[in-house]
Amino acid sequence: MENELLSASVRLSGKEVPGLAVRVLGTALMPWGASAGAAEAVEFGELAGWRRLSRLARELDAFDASMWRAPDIVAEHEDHALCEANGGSALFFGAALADWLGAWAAQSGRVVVALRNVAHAADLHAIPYWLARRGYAGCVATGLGVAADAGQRDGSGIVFSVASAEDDGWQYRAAHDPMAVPGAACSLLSALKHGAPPRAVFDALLQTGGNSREDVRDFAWLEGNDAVVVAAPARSLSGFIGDACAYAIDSQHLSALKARAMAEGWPIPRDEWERLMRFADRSLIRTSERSREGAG
Amino acid sequence: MELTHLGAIWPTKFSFAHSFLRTVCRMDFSCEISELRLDDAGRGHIAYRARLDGHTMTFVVFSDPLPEHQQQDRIIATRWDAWAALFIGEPSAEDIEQSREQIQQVTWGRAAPRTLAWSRANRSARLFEHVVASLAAGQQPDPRQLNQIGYLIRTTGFSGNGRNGMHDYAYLRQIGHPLQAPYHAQMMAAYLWREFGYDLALHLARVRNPAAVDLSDESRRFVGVGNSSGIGLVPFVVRHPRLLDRWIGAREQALAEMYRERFEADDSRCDEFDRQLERAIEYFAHEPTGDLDEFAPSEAIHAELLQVREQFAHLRAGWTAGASRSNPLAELLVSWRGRCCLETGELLNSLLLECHEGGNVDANTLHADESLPFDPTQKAGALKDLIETHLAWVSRFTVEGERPFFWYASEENMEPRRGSRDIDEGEQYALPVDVMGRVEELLSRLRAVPPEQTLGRFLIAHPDMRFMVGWVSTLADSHYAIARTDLLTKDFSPLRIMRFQLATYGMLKFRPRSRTWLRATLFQGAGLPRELAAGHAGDGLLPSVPHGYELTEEPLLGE
Repeated sequence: MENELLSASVRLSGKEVPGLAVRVLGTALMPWGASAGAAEAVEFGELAGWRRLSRLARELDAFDASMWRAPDIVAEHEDHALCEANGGSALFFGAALADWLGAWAAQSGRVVVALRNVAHAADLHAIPYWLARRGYAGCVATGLGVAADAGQRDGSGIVFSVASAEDDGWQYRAAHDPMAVPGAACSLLSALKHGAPPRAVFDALLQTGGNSREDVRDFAWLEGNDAVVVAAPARSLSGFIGDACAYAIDSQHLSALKARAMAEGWPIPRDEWERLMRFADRSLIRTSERSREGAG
Repeated sequence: MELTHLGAIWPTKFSFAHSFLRTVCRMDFSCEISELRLDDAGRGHIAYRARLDGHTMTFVVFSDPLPEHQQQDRIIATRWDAWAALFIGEPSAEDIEQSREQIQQVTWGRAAPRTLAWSRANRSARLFEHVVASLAAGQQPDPRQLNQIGYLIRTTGFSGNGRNGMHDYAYLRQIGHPLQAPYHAQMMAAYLWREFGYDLALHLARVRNPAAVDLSDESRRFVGVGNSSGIGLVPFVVRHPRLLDRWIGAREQALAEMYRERFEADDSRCDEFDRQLERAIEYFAHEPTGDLDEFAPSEAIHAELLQVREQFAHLRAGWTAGASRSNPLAELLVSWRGRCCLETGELLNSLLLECHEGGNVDANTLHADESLPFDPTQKAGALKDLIETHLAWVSRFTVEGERPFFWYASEENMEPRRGSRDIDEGEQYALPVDVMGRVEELLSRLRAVPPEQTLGRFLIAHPDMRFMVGWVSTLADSHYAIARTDLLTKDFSPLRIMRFQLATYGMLKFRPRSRTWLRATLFQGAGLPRELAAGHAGDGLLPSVPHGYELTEEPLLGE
């Protein structure tokens, strides 16, 4: 039997995956009121196979307390809005964005939010999962900001995700391939480059098809930190099941992954775990004699 | 719930130690030493194999006694007399070795596969030696000395529920394990620590004298496991509000049922309550009082219990069959409200619950979903109204007096501590326990937005309020989730919250060592393994004092 202490990976319990994320993000001074949502995004990214903890370990030096800011709502209409995130992190506000979109979709049907200058934009791809879990459909398209090969290893290169409630559960699809992105989303992302897109480009999102090589060309040179997020009533995802949307997960599969993590633990590379733990330990406080009194 | 009441409670049948014992003795249970490798100094390890309802568990204790001056009763220590792991099934030699090495690394240690709980312990230096010397001399230990201390082994630093790579409760529930109720895995470990205390003492006594006698069943039953807890316990109460609501709610619901029921003075529940009262009077007649005045002294509780029992006898004797009153127990307890100290009043409630459903308890009722969900379509104005109507009392804490403290995780094994803003650095890393302050802040922000705005729309502008929106939405109208106390104020008394929590675990003999440090005992009076196997949980809430108590006059030992 392999000696665990000598192995290249560390086995975390299912609870430790979000727990470690909370500790790390707290040390990075993310306000604790937002950390549960952020940890859930990390957990989803880990269970989905995108190695979100590994990416977190690489991001440690880049954390900056100014990232923990809410996006400014530049324009807000009946069923769409434009937000300027000013470098704010999707880890910080992603769960709240899902709350907003869900509540808004309940009132208005399909709603769209376009965001510019989002840090950790890949974490927006947890939003369709959250929306689908609550009985809606959602999709996210983000620009390409990283080399495709690196992005395919850790999820940071995902450009499109879509999910919907379905029967007793939900279905989720994601893709690294710009061809998976609906043409309307490409147009919207492209239009963001030139300011607030006209109303017309908000229409037709979450519709399948409509891609063209021209759209992809427009899309590919966009910055990686712009995004379009859509929420809508639940709908079939059959139109998104194609080669371009090769990555798929559903509620049953996610439950099985969680059950496996509970039973067997969740392995992460030892060096990354140590880096995350050392970073988190920076928030531990040297004790004065007075506060040490009575500790037990 | 007000802190003064919380801080006066005693164990009940819902306390985890008692629900554990009552669960185990309904199941097929056995426990034996599967491996004993101790040298003449007590160094080595002992493994216990426990079987419960067809599930095997192994408890491995590593022993390396420290000189007394090196013992430190705190999780911040780096060495203990003994440390242990509880496993599902039987661990491999590699797993045992990994545990021996890793348990002492409190924050960075990694548990071997199938580990349920870790814990550490020290011997009670004086009582342990008294017991070893007595057994080696062919005698039983002095019951007064046993009562003075109450334990041979004093545990600290239990960890489990997913920490350090261990299995969590959710897994135990998933596989339908008999220890799936909250804290039952830790209780199994604590129970086996008690066994280890006897076995180590007997081993060392036999090193001194191969003809040493074993500890009598009566003494074994009377001795519990010690616990030493500091203020690191306190944030738990704030950070697990739905557990708090569940634990207190189950108790209050059962009490309400007992008060509502109609029965006569000759009902068997009255006999049972009288038996419980008699036991309590006996217990408090002998129970030493701690040095600090934080809790009511044993003498005062004893005197009040005598009066309560006398009145109960009168009440039963004068009870008229078919009386319009509900029952003699409710009549008695209502009449004592406000006439006795809080500790006596709460003890009477605990004794009353021994008569509820025959003292049986479904341990799974103590499980709680800890999530704090909310409806993002709800309106901001509705949440504001909820705070103003249900949580108006919060403002009394945030406007009253100074709040000079913050709570933090110490670099000494991450232990939660209370720091002073004017002394300790690192307030930016404060632990999230200031929910009172955050409720006020949420209210202020909700007042600044249109009342018809959805919470979803509110949150995109205030993502840092997401936890508090869930907290208020879920807890505002729950009865017991929120301890009405502010951990940051100057006059906050940690001991009362600590006592509440330890009583919830099932501990007794609360003895403050300072205003922030408390010792207590667990499993005093608990049935021995073969008694549990035969379906007997033991003495109940309070242990029976061993015979021969008054026969010796040796000076009492200190801890």
